[in-house]
Amino acid sequence: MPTKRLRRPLLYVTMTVAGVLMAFPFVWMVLTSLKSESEATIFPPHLLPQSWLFGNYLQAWRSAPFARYFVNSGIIAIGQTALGLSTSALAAYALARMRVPGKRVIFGILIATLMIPPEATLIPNYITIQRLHWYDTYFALIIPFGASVLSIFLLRQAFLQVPHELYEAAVLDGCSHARYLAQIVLPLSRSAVAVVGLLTFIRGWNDFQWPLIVTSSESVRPVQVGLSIFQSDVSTQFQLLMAGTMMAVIPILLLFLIAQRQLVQGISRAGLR
Amino acid sequence: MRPVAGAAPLEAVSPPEPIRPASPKARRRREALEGYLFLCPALVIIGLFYVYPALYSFYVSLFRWEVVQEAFVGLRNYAHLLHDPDFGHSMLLSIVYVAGSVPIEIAIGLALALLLHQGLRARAFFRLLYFLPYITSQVALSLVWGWIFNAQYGVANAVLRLVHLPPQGWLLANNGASSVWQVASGGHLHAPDAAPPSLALASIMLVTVWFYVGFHTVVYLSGLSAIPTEVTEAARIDGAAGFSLFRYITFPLLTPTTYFLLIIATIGAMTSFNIVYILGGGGVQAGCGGNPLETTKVAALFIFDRFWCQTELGYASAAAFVLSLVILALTVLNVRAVGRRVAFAD
Repeated sequence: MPTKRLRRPLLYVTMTVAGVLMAFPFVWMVLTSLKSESEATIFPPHLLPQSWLFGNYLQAWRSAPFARYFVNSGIIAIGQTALGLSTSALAAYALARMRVPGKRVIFGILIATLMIPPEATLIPNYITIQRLHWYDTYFALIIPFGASVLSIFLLRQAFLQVPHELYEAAVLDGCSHARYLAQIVLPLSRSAVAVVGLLTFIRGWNDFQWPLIVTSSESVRPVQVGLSIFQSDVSTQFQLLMAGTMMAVIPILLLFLIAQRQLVQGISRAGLR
Repeated sequence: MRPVAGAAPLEAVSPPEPIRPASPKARRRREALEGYLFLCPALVIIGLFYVYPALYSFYVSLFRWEVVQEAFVGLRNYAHLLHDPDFGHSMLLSIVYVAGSVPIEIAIGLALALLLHQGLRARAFFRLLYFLPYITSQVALSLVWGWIFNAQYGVANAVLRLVHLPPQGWLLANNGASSVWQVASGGHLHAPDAAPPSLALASIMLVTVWFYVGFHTVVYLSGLSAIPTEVTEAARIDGAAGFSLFRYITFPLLTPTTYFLLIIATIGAMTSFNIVYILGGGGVQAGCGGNPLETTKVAALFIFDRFWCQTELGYASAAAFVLSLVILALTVLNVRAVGRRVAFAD
């Protein structure tokens, strides 16, 4: 056992080594994205680019309809967030605060759906989308994610924290459930609402398999699917590929840096995977 | 406040303005109706896109269904699956993939959480760093890993070169990863060359561990902070320290967390698609143009291939149903193996 004085530095060294390993792919992505084509393909590779070619980003941006992809991803992620928050907040409120017969059963069924693996719903959902004539539309990309059991669960937990006396006082003043939810419960639970919203947005932005299956044209295709097509286009121009991946990651990185504390806490509480 | 449009049924039960003090019974009925109205949008979406498809997928699996619904074939798709070596192989690969990634990511996650819990000054920074892969796009970062593992120019081979080991094909390596350990150990380790995982699948496991380690760290950290300090203090006074403190106090108290993580991670890895899809074709996406590597075709990719590329919707649904059953069985197994100890820990 190391002595007390040795322990601290040893701890920092271990943490730093682990940190470097975790951060390396991000660092390597950025460094490669700034190299020239010939420099990206020498072996063994240089750590730092000889000259930092920020123009690679412009070139990557131009060699695929990234602007369109970004707009699409934004519409999809924001659409899922807005719709998901509304439906989940209403349902969570009903489950938390209203006297609804059978709500325990409903809640139980909702929790049970968490056990359904995504592979099991993929094919029937594809058939449903075809039948609704939603294939290759924003509807197909937004509506199926317009409610989430996890969001309902998290919001319900938060709503239960709001003291019930507030409701009794509000009701005496003639306040309806809808108004009480909008003007008292939601503002008091804003940190939970923010976490749920951010999680929905991140999932919407990063989702891949479903949009891969239900889109066929550039006009609705999100950036993750676009990126996978971009890969086959640029194949060996790794500096462009890395610039493309960097662009796809930046919005989420920024969001995470801004709201990391709430997100980390929210995710550890929700236990998402 | 009047209910908004679409709430017409409510008008029928509640008298129009001015509001008379309604009888408790009428008020209760009104509240129930309003409650269902609140639940309705979420339940419709979850019903249509989660509950109904879970049941409908079994229905689809009873048909020959290629692009459109064709003949009813009963359980013949399932009988066919039993004799499909491709399917058996993909299930085996999925289990190998789970066994080679889940315990490792949980163990490393726990170790990092224990280290972070020592009250370091830069704790928040490290937590952020470890957690970063989990929230970034799996497609984008898998492409980065594909570049790292590139057989010709990749930095992984540059690292091997530094320590004087021969370069590897990584994601292109169809052979057993065991042969690499054999070389690395100077011929001390022997395993049949064809035993899974291939080096390609082992590389994908490594990437998976990288993606999820931070998640486990964060969940373990919140589990650790929930342990009352009186408990650990009391154990310290009784002379427990270092490993024995961990072995007899901390780890048993963390069993609910471990249990939860084990179940979540097993389900997640059994259905893992994105990482394997992007890296499973030898560093390029598997796609439909013939997957060059059969050693990375885990169950999720098998289902995707049959469904999307071969358009055998009925057969793919049957495979998805079997996968769901296997996942259920693994969950029950986890509950049996670890669940008993959770009660003890509480």
